[in-house]
Amino acid sequence: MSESTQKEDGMLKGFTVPKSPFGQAALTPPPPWHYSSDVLGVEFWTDPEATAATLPIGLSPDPTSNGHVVMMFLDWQFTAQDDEYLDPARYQYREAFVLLDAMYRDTPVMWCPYIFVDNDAALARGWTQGFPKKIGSIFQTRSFAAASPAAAPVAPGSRFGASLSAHGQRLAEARITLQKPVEKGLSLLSRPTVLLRYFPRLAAGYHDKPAVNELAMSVTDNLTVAEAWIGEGELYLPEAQGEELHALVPSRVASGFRYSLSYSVTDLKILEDYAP
Amino acid sequence: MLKGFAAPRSPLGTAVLVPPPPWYFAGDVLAVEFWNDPDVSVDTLPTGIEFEANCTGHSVALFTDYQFTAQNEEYLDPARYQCRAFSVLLDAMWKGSRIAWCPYSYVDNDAAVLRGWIQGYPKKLGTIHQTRTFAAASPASAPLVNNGRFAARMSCNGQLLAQARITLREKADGLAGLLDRRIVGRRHFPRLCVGLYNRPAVDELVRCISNDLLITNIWMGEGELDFPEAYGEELDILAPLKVGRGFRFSFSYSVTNIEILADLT
Repeated sequence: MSESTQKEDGMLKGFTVPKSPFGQAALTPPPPWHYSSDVLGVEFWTDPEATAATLPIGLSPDPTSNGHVVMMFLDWQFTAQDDEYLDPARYQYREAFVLLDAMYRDTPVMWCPYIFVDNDAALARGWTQGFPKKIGSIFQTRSFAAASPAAAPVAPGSRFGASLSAHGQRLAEARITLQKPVEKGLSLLSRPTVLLRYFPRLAAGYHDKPAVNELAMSVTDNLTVAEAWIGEGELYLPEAQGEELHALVPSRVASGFRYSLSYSVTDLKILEDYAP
Repeated sequence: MLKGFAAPRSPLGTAVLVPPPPWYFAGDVLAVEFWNDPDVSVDTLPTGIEFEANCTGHSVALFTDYQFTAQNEEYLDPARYQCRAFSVLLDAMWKGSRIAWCPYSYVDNDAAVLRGWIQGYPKKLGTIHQTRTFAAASPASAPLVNNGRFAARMSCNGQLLAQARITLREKADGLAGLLDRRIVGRRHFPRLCVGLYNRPAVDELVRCISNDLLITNIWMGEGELDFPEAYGEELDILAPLKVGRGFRFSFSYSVTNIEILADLT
């Protein structure tokens, strides 16, 4: 090369890092993002002080349902605009998270304090949305069409299990026994989810002055719940070093459920910007 | 109030993915220097970073096996705080000073992904392995001796992205032209609001500040390196046209700060 070479930054493509010449190396493609999954969940009640302690500035406990939590285990397939669902190694993933009741001003919402996934593309999408994702190992009983003691049919009395572990420690174990279909499956997802987009600074003197600190409300398009069943649930949240999920240990389990879920994401509503 | 240097912020601050600096790193490295095609690799440079006029495409591939700690004995939690990494560094320039640009970097641990993003390394998850050396002599112990052989491999989502072999020849006092430049990265955090996809909330060119850098037990020899073509990755366009020396060494350093070179937002 005969002279100094500098490329315009417009040459680098990618919605997230790594930005690259063709935009193929980015951890996740740009929205619209489309999701489909099977969900196992347990609805439970815990110490209201424990749920209140997880709330960020801007959210307050829901006076009517403080302490009400849902833990969900999801087996996901993702696609954007480029047939990502045909690349299952990158774009299938498993997830476990808790959502607890809270209030944003006068609006009943759900807050996500802890969430785990087993895939880096999901990690990057989550951080972008404000889900505080970490990596974990998540498994759930699946349902297969050919009858067998191993098939776990979606039927009365059928049992499903799910687990979450991370870095060699068990964080959650759930059991669900199906009882009956739910006609209005969407009633299981009646509140919007509020999240905290948070990205710190590393420059000395700014370690407690994050570059991004936004309270955000997730915007889900075409939210669909299918084949919803409800029944009994059990949930164990063992104590684990370096985690705080066990602070939400159930005092009473309300129900267990299973359904299929789909939605799309193209947008996010920023509720508050707390960055200095 | 919620505590934590990063997400998830929690009542006690122990659920956080990354504890606050100072961060301390200690590990072993297999490094292979190589030359790629600067007419192609120039396309991985962001605004403000350029190749020097006589750029030869000189680069280095690093396979790192390291242990991390902050202030709370994190090194006693090996499942969370040991990490294997792979990075590529290209010789480049920032406003007339010699730097190393990091276009791609992979790790096998979530805390390392987030530390990387905070430092400006574009980390993704990968599977990284390298031959280790053990004290008790055996055909499996891979001693640091003349003709000692080491290998490393990095794969991601079921595809092989990089593999290296090193044959040790001699102990060295220094890295002789390798890793003698400060690393420049790009802190980037996107927006998801409609209309703002291409206006990230954070987009900064940053230069790493390493304190107490120690490089020891340096062995130098011959290297082999290959970046196979892989779907959904662009590492292969940096593939070696020529491979140079291979190195094995131990390192330590700490991080408390970063230098912001430019705000690209």
